[in-house]
Amino acid sequence: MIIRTLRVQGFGCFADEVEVGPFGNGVNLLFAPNGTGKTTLMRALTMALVDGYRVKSADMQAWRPWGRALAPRVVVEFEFGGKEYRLEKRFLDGASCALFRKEGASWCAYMENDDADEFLRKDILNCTPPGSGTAKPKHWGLAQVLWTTQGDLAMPELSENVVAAIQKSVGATLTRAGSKIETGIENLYSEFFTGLRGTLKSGRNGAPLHNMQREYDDLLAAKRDAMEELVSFEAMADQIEDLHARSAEAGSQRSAIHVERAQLAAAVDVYKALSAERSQQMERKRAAEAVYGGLKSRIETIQRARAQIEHLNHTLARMRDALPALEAASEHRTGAVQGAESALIAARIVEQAAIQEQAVARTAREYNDTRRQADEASARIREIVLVDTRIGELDEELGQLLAPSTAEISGVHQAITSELQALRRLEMASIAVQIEPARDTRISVSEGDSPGIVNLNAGTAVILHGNPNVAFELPALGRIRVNGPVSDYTAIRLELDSARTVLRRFDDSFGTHNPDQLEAMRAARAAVEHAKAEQHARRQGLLGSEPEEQLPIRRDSLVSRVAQIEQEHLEWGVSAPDPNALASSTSARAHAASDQRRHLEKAWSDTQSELLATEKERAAAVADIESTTQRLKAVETEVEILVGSGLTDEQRKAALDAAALDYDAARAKLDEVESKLRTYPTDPAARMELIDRQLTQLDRQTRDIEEESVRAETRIVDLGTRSPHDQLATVDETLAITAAKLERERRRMDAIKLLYAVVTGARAELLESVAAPVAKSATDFLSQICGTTIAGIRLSPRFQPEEVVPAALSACDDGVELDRLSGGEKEQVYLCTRLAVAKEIARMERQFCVFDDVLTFTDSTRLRRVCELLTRAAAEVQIIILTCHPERFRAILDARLIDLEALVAPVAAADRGVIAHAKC
Amino acid sequence: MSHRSAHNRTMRFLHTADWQIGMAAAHAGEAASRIRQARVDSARRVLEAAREHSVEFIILAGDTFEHNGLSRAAVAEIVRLLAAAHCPIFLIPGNHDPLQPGSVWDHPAWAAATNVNILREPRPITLAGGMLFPCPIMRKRSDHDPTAWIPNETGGGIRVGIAHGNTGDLISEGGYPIAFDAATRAGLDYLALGHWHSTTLFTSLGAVHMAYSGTHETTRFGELDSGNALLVDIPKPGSAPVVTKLRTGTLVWEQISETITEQGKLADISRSLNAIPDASNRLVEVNISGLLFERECEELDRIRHASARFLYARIQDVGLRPAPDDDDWIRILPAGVIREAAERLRGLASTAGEQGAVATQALRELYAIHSEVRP
Repeated sequence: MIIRTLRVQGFGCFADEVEVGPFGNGVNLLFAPNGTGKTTLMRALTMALVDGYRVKSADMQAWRPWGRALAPRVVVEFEFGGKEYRLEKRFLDGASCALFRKEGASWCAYMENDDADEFLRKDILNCTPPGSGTAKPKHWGLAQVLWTTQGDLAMPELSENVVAAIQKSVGATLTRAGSKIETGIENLYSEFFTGLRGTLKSGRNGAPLHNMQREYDDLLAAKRDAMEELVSFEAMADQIEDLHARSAEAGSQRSAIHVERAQLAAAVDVYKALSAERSQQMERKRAAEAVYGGLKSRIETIQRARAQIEHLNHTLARMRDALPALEAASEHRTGAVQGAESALIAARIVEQAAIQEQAVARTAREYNDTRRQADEASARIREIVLVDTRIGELDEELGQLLAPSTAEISGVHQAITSELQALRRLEMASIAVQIEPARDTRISVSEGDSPGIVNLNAGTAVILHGNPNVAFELPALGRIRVNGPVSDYTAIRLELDSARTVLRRFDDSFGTHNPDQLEAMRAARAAVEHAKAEQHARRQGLLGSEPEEQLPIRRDSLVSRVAQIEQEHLEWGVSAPDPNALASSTSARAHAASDQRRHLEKAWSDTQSELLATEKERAAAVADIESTTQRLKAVETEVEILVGSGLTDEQRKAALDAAALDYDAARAKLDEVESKLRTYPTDPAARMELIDRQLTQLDRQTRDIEEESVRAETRIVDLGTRSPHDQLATVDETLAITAAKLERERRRMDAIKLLYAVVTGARAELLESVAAPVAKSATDFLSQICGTTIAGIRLSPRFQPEEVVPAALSACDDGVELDRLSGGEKEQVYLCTRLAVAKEIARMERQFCVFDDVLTFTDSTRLRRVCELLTRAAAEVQIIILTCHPERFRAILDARLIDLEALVAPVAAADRGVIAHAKC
Repeated sequence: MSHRSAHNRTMRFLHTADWQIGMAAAHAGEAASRIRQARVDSARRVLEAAREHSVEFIILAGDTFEHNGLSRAAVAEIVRLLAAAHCPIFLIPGNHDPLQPGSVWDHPAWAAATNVNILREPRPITLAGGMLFPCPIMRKRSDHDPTAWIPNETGGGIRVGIAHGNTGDLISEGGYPIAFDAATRAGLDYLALGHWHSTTLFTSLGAVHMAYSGTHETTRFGELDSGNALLVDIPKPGSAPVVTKLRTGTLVWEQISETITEQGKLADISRSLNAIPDASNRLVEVNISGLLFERECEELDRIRHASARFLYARIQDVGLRPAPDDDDWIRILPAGVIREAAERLRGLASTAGEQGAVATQALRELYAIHSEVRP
């Protein structure tokens, strides 16, 4: 599609109709100063072609000319498919869309409204409108590549259908021929699969493979069940055999047990009798032993007691002989203790006197220290009073000094600056009319800064100011009115007044607004404040860490203590004592007294210890005598009891011998019985009991086995009637058949999926390779601009320039990303890419490209080459360049120049109502 | 049993085994049930052969039934069949139908078959003119030689043993091993063996004293010399038995393997299949590998069609790969995507295994679509 003419009315700054064109087939340069409406014109064109006529969104409303209730209207004449068309579109009020086609020499109605919109989008631009609002570049379809927005050459991310359309237009010849076969493959694939990943269809119209697989799975489950049943059947047979074997074994065991039981019965009785006899013999033996033991023990005890009595008597005599010596020693020790105690008391009295003498020396030292501290405190107090007086004087002085702060002085500077600026602007804004009268006269000023009558004297120039006008009446001549540029005079006056108000406030407060004078005031006040701070610091130094109220209290306390000591030592009030001299004289005496006292204390302690030891020894001896006497009495009593039976020693000996004989006889009999019992390894009764238990258990086991056998035999018969082998065989055979079918079907499905995947992959690769010729074209274009500095442009499969390969690098190395290029090189890369894609798109239908205010970073040398490139490209595409610098593109030969300003200027001039201009 | 002198008359009997009635035939697809029925029919032919040759008795050396879990109706049918024989039948349980609780031998129908002797214990049985030494199988697996109990004694006439197990070196664990010289070691004139499906005669010093009759009806593809019973004549004790093979089976399991190296071979296979007679009793397995020429894809369909008349047919053609030089049809495919896809598929088809088979199938699908759409 290429554009012939464009007519716009009621659209943005174009309230009245503006027609642009006819556009040439090659390069068209639409130029005008900023604000003329080039981009607005472009916007009107895109909206007419892409947006639906029914759009009434806020951004569409915004395109009404300001202050006018006009409906935007656009008329575009274009060529497409070898035919000429005219599109008339009206938005908002009375929205409509009409498409005419030229047939012969006349325009005939072709389509209208929605049909016309649809034709434009689908058949021509291959674009999709937005859901709401006006279309953005992403909705432009193929035009995303062909048209730029203002100042933006960068390639946008192309939508999927645009990429596909470009690929299709480039690669159509590569796939069209096989389309029937591809359709056949698609249909075959779709019959069984959904999606691109080869998911088999399921559900009612699903792939047969699903049913086959389900059938196979069911058969597999059935086979598992049949196998389980068969295994159960076989296991049951083994189990029954095992039960039979166990039953037979149990029978053998029972027989053996019965034989053993019969043999045990006789032995049990014999063993029982022997056990009873053993018990009897043991009893007899114990009794004989007890008699013998008792007799022997008595005799021995009597003998021991008699020996002990003799020994105790000897010991008692010895103790009694030693007692008098101990009593004498005790008396002697008591006398020694009394003597040592008397000497100690005397030594303590001497020591006490020496200590008292030392206390006086300490008191003298205390007196001197206290007196010194009291004097020092008084001196500090006096000095603090002086400092307080000085601080009071400085406060008075500060109260009389008035000065601004640093911030206030800064404010003065700002106000002065604002005043000057306002005055300058005022001067610039105002109109000045200078009158140099040749004779005396008067004029009446009707408009200006100072309206009223002004007397003019010959030879004296007068200047009248005003804004926006100055008007005055010259007698006998008329009214003269001078107009000037419109500016915000009032606002400037307000600024000036505001600044002056600030300055006046300073004058009122400080008598001046001179910054230097104000600064001097501030400095003087600062000096007084500094002096005051110094006095405060000195005061703090005098106080130190002591609280202020504490100092006099402490001074008074010290003075009181001095007076107290002087009362005890009156002579010190006259002449101060020497504490060192006092201390040295009493010290020696005190030491000697203390030494003597300690020595006597030790002596007294030693004598006490000796006395205690002697007393202890004597008491122990008395106690021993007493206890020995008691023990002797006890033993004598025991002997009396033991011999109290009336027997003599010989009689007791004879009884002992007889008891010994009885005991030996009992032991011999017991041994005999026990040797008979030892012939039995264990108690036959216990064995009998064990056997009986085993028999009971065996009977129980046999019953269980029989019951289990019956159950198992019943079960196996039941299983047998279900023909487990036949079930398994049938399932197995069906499974084999199904498996074979499944394998064949699966292989076929895999084959269809593979076929589809290979075809799809081949198609995708083929289409991806379409990007290669576009990259080559773009590279060729760029080399025409840059020379050989850049070797190649690499494009993504979606035709986005990704990087450039400098000529210095081989084609295999990584290139340079676009972000690392200069602004000029980047826009050149984008331009070449757009032209390359446009060239491909234009193979089938000539297209028009729009470049709005681009290539601003390109230097003049390269721009010249760009112009040459555009000239050559215009052979294939129509190019429309919007710019406010037409001279930059003078190298484009045969460009059609369209001066938009000239087209719109007469309208604008009448619209603004300008009478005259005056320049400042 | 007929009375005769202990040493004067030839003992004639029929030796058969491994009927395996009820055997599953999953490898035979839809023909499995037909195959099972054929085994019952062949059993009937065995009994008829016995009658035709006037044998004194029949020995069934194990595996009469496929499994002890066989349907009782099938067991009853065989019992009736055996009961109708003209002579006594001596049979032993085998490893497929061992003498275990719940086995086929517990079926009440046996009580009525008075001519059928199920030999349940390893103890000698006296016959007219000789003795039988049965070695019944009690369990599915054992490492014990079932003939070991047979005492080597003289006297008592012609000595015939019946056993079921494996002979040779390649005996698997639990496979009832029987020594090669079991017959001579036990002093037997003939040892009737069951277990192997192929008829096998063991010759020792020029005489056959030990043999497998083989199964009476062939069971699978590749099984050699099966479908027989043996007619045994023993003139007297110590003499060489005369063993005659009698054909009892009717099914033919035929395997055809062909590697295709040039065009036209598939048509040959198709023709040869069409020429095979007795299709109703024939099972055919056709293994085709080698080169597939696309123009011969339809020939494969004709082979399948020709095979449909057989009792069972299995056509294995996954070993076929597109012929490397057969690219005429690819050259006439539309240039671009389709031709490129065909080239790729041909490359994939040359790989071994399932991937190659799938790619070959994909190529055939493409060929089919191409054939449909081309003018």
